[in-house]
Amino acid sequence: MKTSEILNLDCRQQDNCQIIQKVLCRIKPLSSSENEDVPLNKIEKLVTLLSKKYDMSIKDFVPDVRSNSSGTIWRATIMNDTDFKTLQAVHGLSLYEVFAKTAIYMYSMREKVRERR
Amino acid sequence: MTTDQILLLDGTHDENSKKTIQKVLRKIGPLSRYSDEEFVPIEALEKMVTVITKKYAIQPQWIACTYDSDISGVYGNYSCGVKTSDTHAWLGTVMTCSIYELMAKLVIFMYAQVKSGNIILRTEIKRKEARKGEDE
Repeated sequence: MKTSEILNLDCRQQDNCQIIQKVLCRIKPLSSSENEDVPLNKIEKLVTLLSKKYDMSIKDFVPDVRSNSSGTIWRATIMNDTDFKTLQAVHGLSLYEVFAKTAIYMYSMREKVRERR
Repeated sequence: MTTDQILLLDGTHDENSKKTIQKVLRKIGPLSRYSDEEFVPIEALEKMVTVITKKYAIQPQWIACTYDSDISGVYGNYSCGVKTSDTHAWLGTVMTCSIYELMAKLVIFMYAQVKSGNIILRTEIKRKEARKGEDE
């Protein structure tokens, strides 16, 4: 499964949530949580580490509370800090989903983005 | 303890502050069903923010993130402004080191604003607009 396909998974479906968990567990720093859902704070730490090491970071999380009756749609914007180009916008129906997808995307980009000096 | 004092607690690194924030959260009606032993889940906090935003003329703005601070260590820095939906008046900004703490403090801050009586219902905005239309 490609990263872009993972980012487009709808986590209201349980199967898709399990795919996300499986992918997260394949990321080395998160692999210790194989028998449980990866905790949010671990994902957060990974995102922070990737942001500190590579020239990319989340710029903001934007909630859209009123467009969907079933919940808030969150959007995270990931930017390349070298050329200020938007690398990816990640969407999800919960902060956990957005963080998980962001971690997956940033981890997949670590060899394409310059290291911080 | 005032809301401002609660917002200044460091609930990411300090265990006592963490417990205080949980205690305050459990005093908020819909979150009171969580026992003293368990942490209020982030999903419940998100739902609470959505419910308050849909019912009252108050809304969080975007969450800004920075990851270059050495103080927060392995965590980032998150901040989120809160404003009214009718007058677009800025009410305050919540700043934390973790996304869980941000949502927790956002709930506490928004709930306190609603309880203060300064925030009108969203249905009231529609009524005001209808009245304005009639006057014109």
